Amino acid sequence: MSDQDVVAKVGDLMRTLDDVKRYKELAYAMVDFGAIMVVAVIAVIGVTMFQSSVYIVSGFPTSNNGGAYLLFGTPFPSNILVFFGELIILFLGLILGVYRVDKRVRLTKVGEWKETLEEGAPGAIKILSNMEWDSLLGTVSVARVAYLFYSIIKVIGYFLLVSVILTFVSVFTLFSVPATLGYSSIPFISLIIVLLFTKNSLTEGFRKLRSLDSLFWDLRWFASEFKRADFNQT
Amino acid sequence: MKLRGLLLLLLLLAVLLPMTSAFHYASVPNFGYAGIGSSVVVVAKEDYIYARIQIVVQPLENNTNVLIHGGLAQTVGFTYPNGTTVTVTRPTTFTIILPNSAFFGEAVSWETGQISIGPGNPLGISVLTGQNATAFDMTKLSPPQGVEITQCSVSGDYDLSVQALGVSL
Repeated sequence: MSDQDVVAKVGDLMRTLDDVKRYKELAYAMVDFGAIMVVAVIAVIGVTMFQSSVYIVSGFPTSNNGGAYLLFGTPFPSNILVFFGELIILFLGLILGVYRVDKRVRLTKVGEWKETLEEGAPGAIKILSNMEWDSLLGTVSVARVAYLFYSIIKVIGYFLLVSVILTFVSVFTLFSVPATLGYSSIPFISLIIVLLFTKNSLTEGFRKLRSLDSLFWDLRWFASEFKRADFNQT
Repeated sequence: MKLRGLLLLLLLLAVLLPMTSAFHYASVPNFGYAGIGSSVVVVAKEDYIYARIQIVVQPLENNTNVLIHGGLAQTVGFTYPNGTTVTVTRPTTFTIILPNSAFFGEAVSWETGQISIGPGNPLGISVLTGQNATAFDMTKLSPPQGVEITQCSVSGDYDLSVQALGVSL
């Protein structure tokens, strides 16, 4: 293997490890994402409870003739503005959460190895020698879980949002849900819509998960080989 | 630190979620009645429920969508739970506040032919009409301790809807 080959292969490895670094950041950003979504749900519950309290104390509109919507199985008199507000809160929460995660991942410091690699084969050996293999393997492992978790949460978030919007459209604009299917069909329709829209993203996700999996095993093998190599002893 | 914040938020959510089930809603929408007679609106609730009942009474006589042929439209009267009767000449919303007489009470299940309440539905409404209403006598009912019944009646030719919203205290 020539010096150029070594530099190219170490460059490939480091670029992949940069991706892993981004996914690790994703794992930490998931805490922010979760917090934002929980705050959005708390806000929706708070608004609904406040609305109901105000209704009990000062009266509620009777124009909807018994129309009500369900919040965790509890029906409340509907107010279209409040309902819109709650939809906006959930939507903003989701968008803000995704934006926050993307921003943190984009701001991850990567490519710090490029300068050292420009020194050629000695630089490549130096990079490999300075690598903390055990922590690196741990990072790859965390990155795999983080990526899977993030993908699942994102799909669930979009699914809930589409379900709420479809329910809203059905109830308030008398959009005709196929009579033979009824309202119970809304979750299925939502799931199909979400899967169609996230098809590419999901396929890419599976590809990344598989590549992370094989990277993990390759690195384990490489780490043990590298530790045994003569140039690592000097 | 951030993880601790998230856990606190989850804790807050876990506290808030059961609180949503403290609110209760019941309704009888668009109940119409034409003919000589009356309807009785019966509200039953657990004693730990604070509730607001809104009864919308609309005389058919002034409702432009309804044509009454043969005979005169009956004047509409609304009788409050305390027995006071008022004449209703235009769509009117009657509000009845039913305060709670207990806090953190135990739910009691109770069912009659007219109405039923229990832990799952501690606030119930029923509108009885015709013979049911005539035969209904609240004094004959003997609800168990912890259940409160209120009734009001409407007479004449009318359309009514009843909505109730309550909270467990």
